[in-house]
Amino acid sequence: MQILIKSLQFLFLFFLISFFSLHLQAQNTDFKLDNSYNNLLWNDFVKKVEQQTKYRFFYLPDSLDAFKVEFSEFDIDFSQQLNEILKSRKAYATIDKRQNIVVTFDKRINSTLPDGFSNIKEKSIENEFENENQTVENYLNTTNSFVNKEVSVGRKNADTKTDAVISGFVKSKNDGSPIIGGVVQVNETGDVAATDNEGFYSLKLKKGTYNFTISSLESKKEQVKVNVYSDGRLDLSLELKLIALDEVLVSSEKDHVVTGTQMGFQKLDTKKIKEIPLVMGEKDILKVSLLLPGVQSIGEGSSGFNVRGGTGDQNLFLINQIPVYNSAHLLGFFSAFNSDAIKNFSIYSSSIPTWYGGRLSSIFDVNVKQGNTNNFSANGGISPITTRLMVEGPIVKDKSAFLVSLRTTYSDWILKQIDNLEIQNSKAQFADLVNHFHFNLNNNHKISLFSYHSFDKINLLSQNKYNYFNNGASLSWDYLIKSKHKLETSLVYAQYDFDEENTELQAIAYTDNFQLKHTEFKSNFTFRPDNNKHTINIGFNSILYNLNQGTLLPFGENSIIAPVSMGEEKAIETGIFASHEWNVSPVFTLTSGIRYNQYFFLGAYEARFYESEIVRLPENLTETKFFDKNKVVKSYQAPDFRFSARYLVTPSISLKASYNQMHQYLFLLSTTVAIAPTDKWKLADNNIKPMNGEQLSFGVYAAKGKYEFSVESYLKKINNLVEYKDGANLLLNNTPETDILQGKLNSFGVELMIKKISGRLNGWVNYTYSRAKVLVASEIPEANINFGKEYPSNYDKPHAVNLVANYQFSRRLSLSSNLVYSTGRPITYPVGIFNMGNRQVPLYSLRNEYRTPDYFRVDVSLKLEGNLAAKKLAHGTWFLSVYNLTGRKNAYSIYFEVEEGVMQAYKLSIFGAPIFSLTYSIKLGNYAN
Amino acid sequence: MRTKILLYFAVLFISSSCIEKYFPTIDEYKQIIVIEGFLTNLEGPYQVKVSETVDVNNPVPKPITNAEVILKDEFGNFEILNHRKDGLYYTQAGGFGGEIGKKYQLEVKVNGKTYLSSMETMPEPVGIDSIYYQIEENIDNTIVTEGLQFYLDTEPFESKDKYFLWIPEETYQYTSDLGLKQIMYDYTVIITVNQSNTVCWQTDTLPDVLTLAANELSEPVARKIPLNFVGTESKRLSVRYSLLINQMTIDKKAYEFWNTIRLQAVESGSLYPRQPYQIRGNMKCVENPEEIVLGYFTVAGVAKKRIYVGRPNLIFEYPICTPDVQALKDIYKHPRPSFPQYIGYNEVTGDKGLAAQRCFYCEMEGGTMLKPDFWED
Repeated sequence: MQILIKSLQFLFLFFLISFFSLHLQAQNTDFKLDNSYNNLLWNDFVKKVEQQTKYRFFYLPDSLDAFKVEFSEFDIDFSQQLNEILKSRKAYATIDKRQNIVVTFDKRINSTLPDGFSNIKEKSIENEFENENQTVENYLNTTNSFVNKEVSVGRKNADTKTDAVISGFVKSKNDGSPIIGGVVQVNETGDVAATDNEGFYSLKLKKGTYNFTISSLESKKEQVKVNVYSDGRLDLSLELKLIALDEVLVSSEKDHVVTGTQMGFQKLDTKKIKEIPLVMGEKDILKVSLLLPGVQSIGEGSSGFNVRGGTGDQNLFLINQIPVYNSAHLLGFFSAFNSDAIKNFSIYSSSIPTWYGGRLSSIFDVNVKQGNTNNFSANGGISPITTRLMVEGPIVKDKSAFLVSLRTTYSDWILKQIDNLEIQNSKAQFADLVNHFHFNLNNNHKISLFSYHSFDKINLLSQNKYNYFNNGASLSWDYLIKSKHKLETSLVYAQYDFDEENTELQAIAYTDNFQLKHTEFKSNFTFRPDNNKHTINIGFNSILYNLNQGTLLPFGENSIIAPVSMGEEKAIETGIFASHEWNVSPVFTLTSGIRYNQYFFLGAYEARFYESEIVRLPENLTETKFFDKNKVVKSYQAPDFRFSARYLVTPSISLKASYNQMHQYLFLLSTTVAIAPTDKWKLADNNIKPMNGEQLSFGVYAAKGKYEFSVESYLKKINNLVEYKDGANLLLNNTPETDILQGKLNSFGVELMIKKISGRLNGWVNYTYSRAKVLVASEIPEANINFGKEYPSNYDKPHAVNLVANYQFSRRLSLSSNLVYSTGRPITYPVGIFNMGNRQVPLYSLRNEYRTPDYFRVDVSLKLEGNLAAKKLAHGTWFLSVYNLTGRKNAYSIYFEVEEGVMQAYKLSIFGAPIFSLTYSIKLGNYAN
Repeated sequence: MRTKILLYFAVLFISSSCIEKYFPTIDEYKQIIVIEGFLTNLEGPYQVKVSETVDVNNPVPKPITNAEVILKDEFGNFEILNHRKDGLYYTQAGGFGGEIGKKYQLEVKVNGKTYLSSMETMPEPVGIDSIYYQIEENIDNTIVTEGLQFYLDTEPFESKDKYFLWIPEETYQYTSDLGLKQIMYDYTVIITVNQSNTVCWQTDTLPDVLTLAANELSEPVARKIPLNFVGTESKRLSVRYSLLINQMTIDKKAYEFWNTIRLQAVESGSLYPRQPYQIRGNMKCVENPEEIVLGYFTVAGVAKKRIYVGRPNLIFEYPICTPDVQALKDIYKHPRPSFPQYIGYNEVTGDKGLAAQRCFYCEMEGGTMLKPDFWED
């Protein structure tokens, strides 16, 4: 009873306050000057108004002394009356929502005014902004989106221009995190601005009054009426949908597909891929990219991605700016990124922005969540392989927050349970940790500190031990200038370490190691001139690479091998870039950019020189020359030109074309078909030239209702592709260039994609036809591969179909399914047998002349959410997943053994049976938190 | 081995990964000439084998018997080899002899085409210091087998630019499982033989190709080089075992060839297979240099060593015949038994019983009852 009364009291009080404030507002907006104000001196006039109302005047003292207030209109509103009064003095009055009245003069005069005035002006304008934001907040907090509330941006009559630029941030009301890929739409004109990675948007409009609709996939749609007086800032916040019924899978934004200028671009949102079934219940956002058109792999369990015909080392993996040089856990079965902490990631495979460089095929840009600036929260989960825990919360409320996410395995324990001695004698551990701190110093400055750590410790039968470590940190400073220009600066450090202990054969037991250090400074300035037509981007980045190719050491008493030092490598790669996005007309956008790459391979280094005109072999070494520390051994420089154009045929259909050039200065030393766990990175040097590539693409995009449709085609050429001589052995080779040949890679393809982005049933289906062929031909016969004939790359799979479907039975229960088909991968078969010693040896066909059987897989998963009560301590989710439902034994490889004179083929399947897994995830708070 | 380990690892706790037989359609058969010859500093005769590659789908050996095979040295001396059988050509005993430091060439003429090797210099041989063994376990999946792992130490050599090829040859003595009591040719014709267990010797060149590049060694001596493993799952160690090692010192090119031969067998089935390719040797067709010729003319300085091992004190697990007492009793009830039937003792119980013929005659297991000349008891 007591409680009820208190509640009623509270309610009453609430209504009273609401009513009072409404009343106040009504009074204020109704205020008009009557005749009693006429013919007063300015100072008396101000006094009277301030006494009678809540209005407060701001103006430069003495500027309006002895000015007599005269007006004739009584029916127009107060601000108009004021401006009529001030007209004769060429002054303007601006009223903000806090009822501050700022009197300013013609801009020309303003600029010469003393400091005192500018202070007042600045202050009042800031107040004005705050006030507006407050209003928007109030407005958006109301659940009825049709409440008619207004916001004003800028000052009335601030300038004589007809246009104004409005910019600001769209943030989540729940945790203050930026809303990325949100859309601010002007209903009257149809103009649309999408928010970037920081939730920033910018719009250019004719002055006037508009209705804005602000939306994003994860938030409730909001409407707001905006009076645009002049340039200004408008920050908006959106409330996250409590129950996201119509969850969509890929959030390359609805409006982006057609109106965006990007090609070959996909953005995956972790929140949206909850339903996609994956191996052993590990949510692995990176592996989802294999379901997108143009992304392939050699096979299950291999770590590399092959994007549009490129090799696995031609992709740059970035996690909050930190490059990750080994993106695999457990030798490739999982990716090294814990999806819990990932907000989203983007793949650029065609028109790559100029601020990215250094890889030929793609950029995988992973964005980690920002900590919640309002509340503490925690979540975690258990899958058959890992346990996960993530904690986040504010450091200073509304200003700064932290996020820590840890994932670790307990697979050792499971390995012990297996009735197989070899497995019982093996160990496998991995873990990864993400720390993210961000500080919003004020509206214009943001600093974030991020670190990423991962390791793998693998012990196979106590004979092969591998340890991998990725460690990195980035410090970023984002500076927003004049509400629209942006300066992003970061300092990045990444380190990849790997060591190996091999005791398979005691006589040649060895340890080996590798280290790569990446230190980078980058700065990128985005300049938006005072109209919507241009966005200009300039900046540079500079990377210092320090590689230690390791030292192979004998291990144990019985090892007879000699220590071999593979040496150290050092280089600086710098890119200076500029790009210009030009909205030529409302329907046509042209982006042009240049990135100038400079690469210096530095000492201390003992450079080896070989006889030209003949194949590089250790015996053809002519000279070695020692270069002192930091002396340039070899330098390369070249520009990358990048163009893209978008033409809107209708508001929902567009045509796009792009041309892209790239350069790559380091590569993986890999002689295996798939990327092997022991592969090391190598820098381009005086013998091995950097790789370069160019790509031409064309696409048609359409969106209608819940559907999106796109066709993209591309033609790609890569020069100086690093390939290896037949029988190349890099393990004990401290002259790897003698095993390397450089050739060409030609690829082309057509990618079709249809998406249904919302509704109970959503998902996508895509079909890709693509080819990728390698040519290593030279006039020197020994420098040929495959006799100088073109051969398909290891991942050349012409036909690929991916279907991803989600069906939402209810708010709590959803079913999803993947269907994956592709042509088998190319493989080399024996076409004869011959005898050597007493051994029967296969005679192989030309390289990759045959194919493995076609690949086909169906996965299904069922997700059951805990109850949807809004107020509860924790929310749990059950996730049952079946990978490879049909149990098809897809071939990873086909290999041959000669048994009693007969060549017998064997098919190796990695996941040759349905794999069931059950995962339980728990987090504090309700479903939506 | 690595292959398998990686694979098992892939299996982890899902035993879903699997290997199964597969029958790809290979419609292509490359009929290519294969020439394999050895010339050493040891006394001849030397052997050259000329054949064609075998069809994968129809693996019938294809020896070339009508070739003209000539061994030449750098001074113009030569010897024409005689075809003995199955495409194997030999020099005369006491004929052409290899000498260290001299250059040699192999010429093979077939059907109007001439195949010529590059000039190969005979390297100086490195001696074998010792061959020895340890009792070790070999793990294959869940099966642990005990046995002997053989090792080799070379003698020290002066410089590290040495390359080795070892082709082990084993000879083992073994006995038939049972002594033969009687042979029953009919229900009525039963001959008493009373033959004790027969003794045989079997010699095999092992399929292991072992190679080593000395420039990878810390010191100019190779120690504890693993040779073959002999398990207790077969009869090989049951009586007396002998291992003969031909330690061939070869040049770098020959090493690269043989090492590739070795690797192609080891790598198959790996999670991280290397790209297989056509292995090229040192033979070329004179008329058409583009023509693919397989095989190698290996010129090696050879050192030999043999060791003997008696039956080790291990538990043997090979299957052994036991006389079937009941079958012998039942044979009279059997409507039409096949004859002859062989009757042996059960050594423990002394009972007589039937057993298969191969249980009494060791030759039927592959060996010969002729004691090899070199054999030391």
